[in-house]
Amino acid sequence: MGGDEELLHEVVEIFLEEGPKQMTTLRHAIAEGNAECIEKTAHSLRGGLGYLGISEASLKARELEEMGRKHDLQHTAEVFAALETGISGVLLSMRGMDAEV
Amino acid sequence: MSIAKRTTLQSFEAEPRTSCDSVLIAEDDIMSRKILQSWLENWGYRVTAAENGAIAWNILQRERPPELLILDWVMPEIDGMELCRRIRDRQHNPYQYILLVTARDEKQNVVRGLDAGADDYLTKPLDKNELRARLRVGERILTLQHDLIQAREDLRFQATHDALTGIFNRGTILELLNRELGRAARSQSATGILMLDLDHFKQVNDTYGHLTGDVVLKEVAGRISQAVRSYDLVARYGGEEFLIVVPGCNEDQIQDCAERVRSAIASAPVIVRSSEIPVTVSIGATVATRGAITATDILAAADGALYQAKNSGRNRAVLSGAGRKINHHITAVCAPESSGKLAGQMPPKDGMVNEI
Repeated sequence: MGGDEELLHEVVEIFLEEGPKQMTTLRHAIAEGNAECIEKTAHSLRGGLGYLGISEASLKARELEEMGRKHDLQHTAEVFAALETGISGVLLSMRGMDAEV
Repeated sequence: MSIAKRTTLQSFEAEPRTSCDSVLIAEDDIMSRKILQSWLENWGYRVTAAENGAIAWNILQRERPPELLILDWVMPEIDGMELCRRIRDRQHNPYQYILLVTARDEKQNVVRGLDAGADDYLTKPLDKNELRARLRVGERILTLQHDLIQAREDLRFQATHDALTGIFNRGTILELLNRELGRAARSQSATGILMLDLDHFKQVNDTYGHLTGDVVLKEVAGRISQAVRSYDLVARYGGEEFLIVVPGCNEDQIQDCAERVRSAIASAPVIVRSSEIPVTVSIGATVATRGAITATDILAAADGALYQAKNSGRNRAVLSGAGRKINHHITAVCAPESSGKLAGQMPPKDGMVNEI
């Protein structure tokens, strides 16, 4: 973020709101096998995670994006599970942080 | 006192902006857009944000769109690549500097992006310092372009205007006269010209020196410019000669114009340092009332009338009818002290009828 406290706060706010929504969309897309939607949603998530410096989860999102792009949906469920684990911890601590501020 | 009006030919460009502090960002992801906007505003840029390519394209249709563009590749409606292509196809002036942003960093994508017209390519997540540095690169390039345009416009002005007085030079006014005559021929309208020659100017130079003579010329040019309408064209035609092209006027109007100009020059002396130098001008006026006439003919008619003005006492305007080939009449518009009237009509005298 470049050391901007206020911006970080705003970005966290956005992620707290958008993050869960995107995860839900992604979950459905994987269940339905909608490659395009997987690619698009994972792309968005990846961007946000990248900015927040959550690299592990960001890499998982990138993997899903690639799978969506190549229409290779075999392992999407597994990767999604790993992503979900990575993100839920983050969201929890963010909410905590948010509550403090 | 008065400065000669800076009239410009229609082919001149609008003045370019000198600051490149306006940025357009096109990014569909909320977070990315938010972060980008915040950074840019902190750096002092004015930011316009679009959440998809179509909105961005609309913003670019405005009269003075931002010159720095940060475009996300993947976005709805029109994507970054397509936007690039459209912008380059349009060849907007001034140049728009495009930074294409994407999560895709494979080499072939970089090439595709640059080929589509992007000036630079950045991958997400954006590194703050890198973005800032690359924007500065863009600004350097845009400033270069602005400087070049300014230099070209300065040169264009110098080429078409008289260095001393700032009004049109001889070559330019002749071109403009031809254009105006062509236009008048097509629309069957009238064109008038006034040919002016300062009276006893050689004496001014001899008495006060050429530097003072120059000041007088500048002052006269200024007074002429103030006296005419905004769409009349004023030029320095020779050392102490001026030419005014008066589009769309009739004989009454050209006489009014001539008298306004004569009076503006004669009414008050030109003050140079502490010297008061009285200045008067002789004017040959002519109106081509019937459509087609050549520049040569109209100039010759005005010149003939100017000659008459000089020979009949100076500080006056003489009108000649150039549009008519027969039955010319010469109307002398005299300075108030000699006839007390404007536009006194005189019947043609033998030997005074113009052959033109």
